[in-house]
Amino acid sequence: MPNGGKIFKGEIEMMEAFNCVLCEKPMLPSSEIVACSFCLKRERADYVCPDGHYVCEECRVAAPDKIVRKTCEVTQESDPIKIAILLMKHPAIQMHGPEHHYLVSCSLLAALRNLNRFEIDGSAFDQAISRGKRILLGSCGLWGACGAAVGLGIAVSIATKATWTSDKERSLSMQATCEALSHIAKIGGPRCCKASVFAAIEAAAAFFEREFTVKFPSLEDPRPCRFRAINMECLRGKCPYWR
Amino acid sequence: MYKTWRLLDYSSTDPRINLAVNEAIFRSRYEGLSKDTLHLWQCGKSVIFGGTGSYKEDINQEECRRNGAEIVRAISVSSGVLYQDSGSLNFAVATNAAFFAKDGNPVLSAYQILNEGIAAGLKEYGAEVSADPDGIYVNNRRVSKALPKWFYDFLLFQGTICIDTDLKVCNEVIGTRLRSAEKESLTSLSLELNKKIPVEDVREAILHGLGEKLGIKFEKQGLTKDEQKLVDKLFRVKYGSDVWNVNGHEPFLVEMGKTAVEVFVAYPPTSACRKLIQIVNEAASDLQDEVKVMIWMRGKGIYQHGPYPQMSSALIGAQKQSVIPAVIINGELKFKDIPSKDDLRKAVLEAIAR
Repeated sequence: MPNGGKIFKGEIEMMEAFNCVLCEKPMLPSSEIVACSFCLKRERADYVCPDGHYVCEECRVAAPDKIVRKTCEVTQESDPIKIAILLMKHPAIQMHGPEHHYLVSCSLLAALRNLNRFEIDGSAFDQAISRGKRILLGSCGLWGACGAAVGLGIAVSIATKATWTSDKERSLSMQATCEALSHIAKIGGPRCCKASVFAAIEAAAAFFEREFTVKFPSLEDPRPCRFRAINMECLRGKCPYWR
Repeated sequence: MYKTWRLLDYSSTDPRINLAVNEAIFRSRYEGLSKDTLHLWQCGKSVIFGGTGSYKEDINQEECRRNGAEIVRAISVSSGVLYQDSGSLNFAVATNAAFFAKDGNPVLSAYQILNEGIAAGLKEYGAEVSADPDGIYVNNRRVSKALPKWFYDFLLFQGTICIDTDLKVCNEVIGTRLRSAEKESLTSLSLELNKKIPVEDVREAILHGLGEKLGIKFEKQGLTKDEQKLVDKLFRVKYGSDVWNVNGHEPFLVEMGKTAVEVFVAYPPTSACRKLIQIVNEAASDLQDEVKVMIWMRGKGIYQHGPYPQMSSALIGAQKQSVIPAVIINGELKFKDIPSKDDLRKAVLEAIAR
């Protein structure tokens, strides 16, 4: 049988060499019990990277909303940029796409919860995802309202329990969106969802400190952007996160 | 220095087969199995419309029936309707757009260059001929139009030249939606020159015009064995079928007409993904002549199978909806979980036989 019985010999060879989705180092076969880098579940691994990164089987096939929820529910991280970058490295999160809308909300809510500010439980993430999914793909250019910025407004709304009948909380939600929109609009286009996420979270940091005296202890500098090499539509020098 | 192109002088009386030939030479070209090709052909009355066009709205089917004109859909990135009969000369060019780059700089429009080449041939009749990307004109009235199809940098340019075409029938068969725009400017070379021009003479003039304009030497050659086999298959599954001609639905064939089996898995593949890959291997490894298996790993980008990726819309849908693992056969999502080897083989064989 040709190719030793393998219909796609090159594919099999390609498949035996995997790079870590988190740090790009070559992964090594393993049979140790390790914790998933996303959901923290411990299981017997098949491939682990030299830095100990592992993605469990359930997380590998998870849909974008599932991976965002699972990760944000268990993370101990209080840096929303770090949480966002971790999520954006997952294969379920495309380079550009509407999943970034609720990714912003959930990253912020997880960080705020870990700072013991606001009453944030698992249902907060469900709400953030549910609301975020209603934001139109391309709302940035079609509605003049980038979904990442609205994601910040959603996070403020959930954290403050705002509704349409609220007073100050309602205003704060809109103010937050407004400030994030201003940041994102200055970057220019076309796209980029990664830059929008970074800009929205940076706007969020300033907003929460000013309005709620909540300071994120650290905010990882997203520069240079980890995604620029694989982003076919990277804005390069035009983007403030390029380098 | 002249570049050699293949001249495929092949005409079937069935326009559907001629279009199948056009697609076969196009696939052969972009797979690197043949050189740049010019296909010249003629046949009886037919209406050829662009891939994105509407069978119902762009064509007057009743007039086609009345006039005995076959209706065939062409692969094309545009809509538009071409009528051709024994007074028309049809052409198809299969090439790489890099061929038109002058001094390494891309030319604004490959269509214009090709139309200018053909126009150069028509000028030999003393006509006032001009060309632009949209067509060729004699005395500012259109005599030729083409339907382009792109596969990355590769171009299939299929068109017709009205030499002595029956324009009355032509106007009747075009649908109302397009009629006023097309009717106004359509003419034929014979009409404009007020004399009957033999199509055979025009063929030689065009070869001469294209040759001089593009620096091409034509070498007459037939279809290769693989191309002939593909023509037969394309006629059977596509051009000979209402599913394509009426509804515009086509099977997802890759390379020279192989049935595509796309396997969407996680990265790195989970144990279930590996099991699926093993099953696919066992079910299809003896079918390599007919089947191409592609394993797509989520998150690894569209170029994981080379510089000219072909992904079915079902695969793109599975990616967007995180259906993992998934098996897509011939552009249809067949399995959302792990099938048995027998079920998978049955599905593959059915797809091959279709």
